[in-house]
Amino acid sequence: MKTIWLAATAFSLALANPAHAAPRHPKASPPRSTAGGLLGLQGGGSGSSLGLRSLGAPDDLGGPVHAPAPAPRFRPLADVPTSGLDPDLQAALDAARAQVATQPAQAVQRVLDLQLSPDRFTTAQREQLRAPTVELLHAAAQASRSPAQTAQALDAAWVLSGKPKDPQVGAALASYAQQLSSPAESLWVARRALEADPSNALAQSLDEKLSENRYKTLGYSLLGAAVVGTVAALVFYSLGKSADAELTGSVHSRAEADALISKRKTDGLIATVGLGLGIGGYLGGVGLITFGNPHYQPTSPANLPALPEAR
Amino acid sequence: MKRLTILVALAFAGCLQGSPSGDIPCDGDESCPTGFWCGEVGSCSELTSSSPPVLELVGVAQSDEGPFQSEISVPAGTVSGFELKLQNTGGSEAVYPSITLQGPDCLGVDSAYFNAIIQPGEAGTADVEIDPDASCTGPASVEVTMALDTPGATQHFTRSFTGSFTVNLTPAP
Repeated sequence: MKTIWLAATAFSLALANPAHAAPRHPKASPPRSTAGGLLGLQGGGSGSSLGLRSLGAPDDLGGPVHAPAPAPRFRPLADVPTSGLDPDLQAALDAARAQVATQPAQAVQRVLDLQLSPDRFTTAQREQLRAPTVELLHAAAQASRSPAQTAQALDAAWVLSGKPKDPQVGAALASYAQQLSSPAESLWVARRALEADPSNALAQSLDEKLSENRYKTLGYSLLGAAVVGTVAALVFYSLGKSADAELTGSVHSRAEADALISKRKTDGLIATVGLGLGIGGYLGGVGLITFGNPHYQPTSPANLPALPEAR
Repeated sequence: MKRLTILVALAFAGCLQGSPSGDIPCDGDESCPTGFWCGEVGSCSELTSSSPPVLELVGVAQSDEGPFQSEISVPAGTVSGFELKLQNTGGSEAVYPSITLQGPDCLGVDSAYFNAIIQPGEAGTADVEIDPDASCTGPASVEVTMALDTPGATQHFTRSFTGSFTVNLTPAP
């Protein structure tokens, strides 16, 4: 949130006596509602405000210059009000509340802007903003019709709450992850969901599907089949060779010779199939195990994380 | 590497799918597997690559010129010579077939030895003598056995074929 402070009278005072234009002390506690102490002009934009704060009393204006210069009669604004929120922040929250039912996305953006504002006054009031913001984000998540917006609102509320275990957030993120078309983004959101709820089955399933080799079991099965096939090939090749030797070793009757020829062919066929299984299984198994790993680099979608992790 | 693997696999598989690695010994067609025949050297050959010799009796005639028929007329009580024609309708050469004639004793037929090789699809003739008794009456049937021996085989066996012709006897001159 940008706050522009105009020292309306400081300029004239400075012209008269530059010593009056001393910088505000950040730690000082000025009266926030005394006459002439604070003149605030609230901006209407989302999370933005325009503050006009006077630096001197009205009777200082246009008066003669006396020497020595008096000590300034204003005190710098405190970062945090003594109670509640600054009016501009309160107004931004109220505006977001008014929008949340009908325009949840804009309401979420409004409160996220408050959270992301680098302005020191806003930053200092984050703690006071936290509870109403979380409440508003949950309301926005309920009102939202888009999984992306729901995920964003709940993710932000979850971060603001200190990232506790939250099955609702986990479920929303997992559902959103399932709908993302980009596997890399889906993987990132699924892992985010697991962070919120490690027991979420859908998120676990998505994480496994997108980061683990789904073909590993099949690959090892093929390697096992390759071993069986190779052993079978060797055994039946030996049996076939025995029948061959018997056939060519001595004279047999036609029936015996036919039986030996048949056995030899059958053994040869089994050996061939076994060898094929051995070679195919080995190549297939190694291929699946080696090349079956998905190589998705988890990538956050544009709307997540809704807030920076370190806050 | 992959090509070598495939070649090894094919070689390995082919070993037991084709013909036996060695010769299958035999002592006759009946000792060979179905689809094989027993060759001259006593080993089985596949019928798809070759076939055995087959001898058929074409007929008999008074001279080489023919005509060769299933009947011949000879005078009784006289020694006569005639020609016997064989045809090799098989796929391999018929090597030195021996011919045995068997008829009534009074007919006086003798066996013949065919001292030649009959190539597949070709024919050959053998000279045969007949010496019927004067008392012999016809017609008489003569059984012809044509045998092919396998002298080169480890175990000898004989491939035999049969035929017949009729001898009509005319009165002695």
